[in-house]
Amino acid sequence: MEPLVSLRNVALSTPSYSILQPITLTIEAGSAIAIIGPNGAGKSTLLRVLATLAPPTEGEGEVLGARLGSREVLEVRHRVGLAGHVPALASRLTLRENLAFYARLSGISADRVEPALEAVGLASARERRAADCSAGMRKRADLARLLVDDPELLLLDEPTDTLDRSARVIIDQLIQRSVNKGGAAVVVSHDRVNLGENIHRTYTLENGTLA
Amino acid sequence: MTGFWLQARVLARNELLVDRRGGETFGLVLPFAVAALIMIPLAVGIDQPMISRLGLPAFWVVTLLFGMQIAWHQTTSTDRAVRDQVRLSGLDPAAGFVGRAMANLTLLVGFMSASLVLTLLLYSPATIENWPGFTAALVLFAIGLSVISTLIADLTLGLSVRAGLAPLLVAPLALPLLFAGSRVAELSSEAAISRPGGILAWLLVLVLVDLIGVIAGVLSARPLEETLG
Amino acid sequence: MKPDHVPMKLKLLYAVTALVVISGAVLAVSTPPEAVQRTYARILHLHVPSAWLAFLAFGVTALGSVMWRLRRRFVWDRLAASSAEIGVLFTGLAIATGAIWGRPVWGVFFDWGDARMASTAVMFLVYLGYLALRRYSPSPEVAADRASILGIVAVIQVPLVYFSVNLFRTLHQTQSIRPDGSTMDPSMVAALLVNLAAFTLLYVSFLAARMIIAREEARLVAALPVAGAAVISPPGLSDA
Repeated sequence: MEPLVSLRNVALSTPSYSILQPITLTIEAGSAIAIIGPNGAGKSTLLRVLATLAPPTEGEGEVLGARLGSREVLEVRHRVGLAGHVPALASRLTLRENLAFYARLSGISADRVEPALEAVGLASARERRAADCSAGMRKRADLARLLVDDPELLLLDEPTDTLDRSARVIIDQLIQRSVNKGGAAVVVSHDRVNLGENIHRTYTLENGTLA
Repeated sequence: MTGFWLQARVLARNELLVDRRGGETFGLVLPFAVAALIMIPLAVGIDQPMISRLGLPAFWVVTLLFGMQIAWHQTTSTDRAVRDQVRLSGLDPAAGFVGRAMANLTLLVGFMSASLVLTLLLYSPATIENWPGFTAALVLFAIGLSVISTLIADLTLGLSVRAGLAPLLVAPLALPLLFAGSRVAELSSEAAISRPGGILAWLLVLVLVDLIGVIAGVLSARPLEETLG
Repeated sequence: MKPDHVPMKLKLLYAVTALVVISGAVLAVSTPPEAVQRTYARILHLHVPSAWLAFLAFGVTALGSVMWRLRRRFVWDRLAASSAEIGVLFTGLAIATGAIWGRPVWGVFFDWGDARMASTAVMFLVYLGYLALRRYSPSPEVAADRASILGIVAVIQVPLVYFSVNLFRTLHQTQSIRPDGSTMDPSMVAALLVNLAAFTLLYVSFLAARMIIAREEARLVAALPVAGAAVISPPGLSDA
């Protein structure tokens, strides 16, 4: 079976500095990996490459069968779910409106929004504007978005930041769902302690180099 | 994956909702335009015939200069996390351009309506005798400006000097709209029934600029999206 | 560029260009004064070739932009950018010389009612914006991608500016040299043609020099050591 992700000497640099040194990485279906590293190691950038949002400047790779840096990625992006450092919420819209917007854009029924918000404990806050929510609430709403999307490739950037222990169960559930249905999950963190129990393999990323 | 037009409509509705909540167009841009429309006759003085002559030209200029700013506040392009998620939702970049332009157009029509009413009240310009022609010019102007400002907003996304650079690019590219719109207004104010061909030619100029803008925007949407990184 | 780094072919080009430019200048000065405009007409030997050079330059910018989109090789982007810089310079020169000529002849430096003047000023602004867009783009690839789109769209202005004198009958005269003949004295036509050739050679010379400089700039940037690790990890955190 084809791996979900295959990177071969993929690197990313700007004219001024190098962000990622050549990385070779394979992620099989049904697996969950973690990448840990200090600040500035390139973890978020690596996630953006995996999300097909940042084309590599060197090397080759495929994500969900689409060649990185080609227009093929436009066909697979809707199968990728990314929860970045900053929750993807328009501050003036309510939590429900934000999630419904993304759902409709993806062709998913907006009926899935309310159960997802309920699953993350935000049912009573669904009509609250994102700007009026705490950082933890916005993070939960971002995770609810992933529950609505139910992506094949799940990418989580420092998912436990700002979340209490009860919310971390949601992350474990998200990872388990992806893995069980033949997808994959990638979690990046600066801290091994908060990775959860579903991780099959851990890599370190330091100075743009994966080990 | 969702259809092109459905994606464009979903995006447009979202932008309109965000603008309504934040009040940029009617709470920020329009007041500045109103102030400009009031200041001009005050600067001219008591020469009422001149003020009347200045009315519609002032309307077009104010619409162009302030109307272009409507495109600058769109969250689906300015907020990086939101922009990333919109891309990951499988949005066709061309549908994104069309959706944003549609939202701009809707806001611009409202903006222009308010500005025009104020212009007619404050300046008492010559009576418009050919309202169908003039209305067509208004609509085509709005389409052209919304398309050009959306294209330039996309071209300048992420640049540190975006706020200053964009008017430098939009204003010159939109000048044919200004020119044609002014000529239609002029011809609509005379006994224009005797020279319908004159208006038609200028309306065609507006149509041409609109078409060029739409084609340029749609064709450049994907290449531009690839530069976002 | 140091003289010993300049290829022989380029030195020859510069020499020929200098010769033709000097010839053009001599001819411009030695032609008899124009019947109505007298000696003011001589500035047209600067004005008309500047405008022609601007049209040529922006056309080449569009070509370079199209080729970048098709081939994605930086040589095309350098061509587009270098040509645009030269085009902006000579558009400015055309506007300035036109204004200097217009004041004594038409009574105004600049007449916004004249379609050629107004459209040229607009074209100048657009390409200034093109250069600014390149200057403030975060990377060479982004600059090339975004500027190429603008370079292709903006070239529509070139035929509009050129034919504006035919579409709108205002102050600016229509073309003096046409396929069916000329309205100018033959000696003036000869001087103008020589100056057109001189400016064309000048354009090619400037373009060649600018592209060499751009190529060296790109090499210099590529040869810089990458900054590498911006953050040094504290001890103990790197243990897997």
